[in-house]
Amino acid sequence: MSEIDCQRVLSLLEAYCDREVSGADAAVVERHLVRCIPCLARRDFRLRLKAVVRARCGGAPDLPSGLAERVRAVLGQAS
Amino acid sequence: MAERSTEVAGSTLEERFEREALPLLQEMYGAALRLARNPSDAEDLVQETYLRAYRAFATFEPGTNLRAWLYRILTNAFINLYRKRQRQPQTVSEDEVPEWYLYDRLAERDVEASAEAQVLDSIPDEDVQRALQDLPEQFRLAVLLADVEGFSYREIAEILGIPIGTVMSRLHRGRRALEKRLWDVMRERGVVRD
Repeated sequence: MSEIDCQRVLSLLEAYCDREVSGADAAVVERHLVRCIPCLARRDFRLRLKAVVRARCGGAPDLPSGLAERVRAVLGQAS
Repeated sequence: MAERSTEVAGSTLEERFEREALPLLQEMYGAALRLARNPSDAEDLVQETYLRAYRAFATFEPGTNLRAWLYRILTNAFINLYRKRQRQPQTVSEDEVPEWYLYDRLAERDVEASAEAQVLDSIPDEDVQRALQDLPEQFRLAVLLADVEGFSYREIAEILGIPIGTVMSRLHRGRRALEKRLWDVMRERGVVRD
């Protein structure tokens, strides 16, 4: 595993984990990750961090009671 | 408005808005709550967003991404309504957080392979939420839109009205700043020791 391979893959990894790398670059990353445990661990870490942020900070809370009606009323006045 | 009564594919704009935009209300309220940080402001923000969206709905191109379109209105409304109140210095020190900040610090301490990823699960919910809330606004918006709301770089660029390169840069810097905050919180909590 050459260090140049790792550097190239690590520079693509953030966008790769965001599903923003495709084509030849994605193939380079995927071929490398099969063989390189340290880069694979960093990919797992990135994906886990994204998942943790999404799970802890996301979700659709219940609508406050009456909000849907208030929104409809505002729209009714606007039309 | 005259064009409101214009029929598109057999239904009026009002009917289409009702059918397409109103079902997204709960999701938009969740997004508004994350942006505004409290239920009362989130309600105001959602009402303002739906009013603006309704008035501008004639400019929405059917078949394109309504969710992203509503988020753009929501985000702009948030920035306009609350920017003055929440002005905070955009600290330059965020740039000094090194690449792989959190991973490398955890890796120095862990003996087990892949424990770096697992230790993230042990951070309490409110600590992750606070770490995100404390980010400088531009970074917080980018990370929220990418990691919490799940938008692509292109969609985030459209929502925020900035180039894709700027999206990538804000995300990159925002995530490193987030990692720094998470590391600080883990040390405070004693999850890791110096």
